[in-house]
Amino acid sequence: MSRSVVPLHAPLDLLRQRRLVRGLPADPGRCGPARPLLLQGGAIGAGLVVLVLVASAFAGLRDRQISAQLDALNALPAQSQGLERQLRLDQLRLRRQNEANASLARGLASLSSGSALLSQLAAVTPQGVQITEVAVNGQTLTLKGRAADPAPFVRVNALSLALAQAPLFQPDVKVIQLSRPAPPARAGARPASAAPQLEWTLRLSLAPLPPARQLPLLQRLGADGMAVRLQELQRLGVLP
Amino acid sequence: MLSGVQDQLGPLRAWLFPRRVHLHLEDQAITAMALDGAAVSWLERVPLPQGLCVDGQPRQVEALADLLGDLLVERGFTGVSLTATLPPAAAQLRLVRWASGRLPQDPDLQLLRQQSSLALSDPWQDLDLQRRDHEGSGQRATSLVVSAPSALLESWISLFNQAAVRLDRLEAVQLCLCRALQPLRQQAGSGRGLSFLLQLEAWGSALLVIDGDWPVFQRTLPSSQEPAALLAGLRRCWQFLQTLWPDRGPSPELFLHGGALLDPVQTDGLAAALGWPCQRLDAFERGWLQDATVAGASELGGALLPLWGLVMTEQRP
Repeated sequence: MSRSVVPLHAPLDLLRQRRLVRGLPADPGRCGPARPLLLQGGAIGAGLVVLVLVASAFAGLRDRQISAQLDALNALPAQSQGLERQLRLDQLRLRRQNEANASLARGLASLSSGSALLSQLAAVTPQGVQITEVAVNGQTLTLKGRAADPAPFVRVNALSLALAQAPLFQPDVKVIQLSRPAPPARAGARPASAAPQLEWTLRLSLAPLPPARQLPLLQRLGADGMAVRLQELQRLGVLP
Repeated sequence: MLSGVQDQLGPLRAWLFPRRVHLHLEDQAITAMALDGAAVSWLERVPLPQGLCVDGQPRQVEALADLLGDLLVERGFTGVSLTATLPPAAAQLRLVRWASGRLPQDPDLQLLRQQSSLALSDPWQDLDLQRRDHEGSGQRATSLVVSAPSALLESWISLFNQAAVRLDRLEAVQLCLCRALQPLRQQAGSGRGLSFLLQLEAWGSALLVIDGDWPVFQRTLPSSQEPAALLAGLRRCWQFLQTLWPDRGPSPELFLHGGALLDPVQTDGLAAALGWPCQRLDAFERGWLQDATVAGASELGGALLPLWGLVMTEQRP
């Protein structure tokens, strides 16, 4: 027993001492009615449901955001492929353009200047030799002319040697034809000065000159137009 | 398969929604009641074979446990928690008015020293004792000592364990009756008068006399089937108590309850024969409990005073 002053009609549980003997709490605890327990459990359950709903709504919102980002990202590969394709096309176009430019530049640079050619021919033509025809076919140059006496063969030979050493031509000068046409049949004496001159034909190749050597040569030969054109190509950087 | 699922769900339901059953234990019957708020959801009085419980002591614990366990399972109250009233013969109540007028420093020690004057049936060490003290202004300090043999309590604990139910509280029925009667006494203004609380059953009558808030006297009397003997017994008790307390008025107030409660006409006849004020205590008629959903409950309204006193502590806010 213990000293207690409690309400007169509070429960007086005869099991109290039996519980203490067993080492149990003296008061077993009030067994509450079901309704408050149900309400409490319902509130906890409803709270959990609300929590799950909020989490679900948040997850759904986040899912939509991520889906939108994913859609935006999904368009990137197509854009990238388009850009890459465009880049390849542009690169191809540029390469072709460069090649075309280089080809044009090469053509422009390799194009022999007529004035330079004539200047060079004038410079190497010995006295008594006359050039009557100049024909250019690609890189092949065919010269026709006459050589005056005396020693027309020597003169033609001198022309051939001079051409072989000229920087505009290759040293593969070939004599194609040497001929003295028969004089016109006339009665009477034949004056020496009326003897027909030696006609000759030479064939040679134009020398492929690099622009570095071409420019001073053109300037020296007075081909100013061609030199200016070469300088412009050099400035544009399109020369090979 | 459905019954198997229900068997599995039973303990879970009992754990989630704990239910409580209240038992009024007597040698002759067990009255069981379950409440849903103030409404009675189950009410049944099961007579006990003679010899199963004698003087509040379960003689055949296993048989009584089987009976109780089967009853609860059949009525769908598996794994419930219980509160119960101990049969009147099993508990001894002693009212101690302290000579000094005040509570001693150590009431337990004083009671131990005065144990011979308490005239308890068993040695002190074989008893479980509970004490309720009262120190009113201008009144002598009083202690109510409720004792029950430890072995008897162990028998009931073992019985309820075997019935697979949890016993939360076991109270002396006399205290439950006092508790149930207190509001009526306050209403009637019977502050200094004695109250005769008479339980009427087919097997006999039991008188509990209440003075103030305390039970002061109890006696077994003849049943109401022997009205002359019952009247004579009541008058003898009153005469005896008048010799003890001559200042308690011209007559006690009589309260009737029990399974063989008299009808209003019989009650009036009894009151007229005794010349005492008399009230019937039917729990349903008084509105303490509601029996709307339980068939046959209304016949047991008179037997519910001990259970009403038992559940009052849980019904109060």
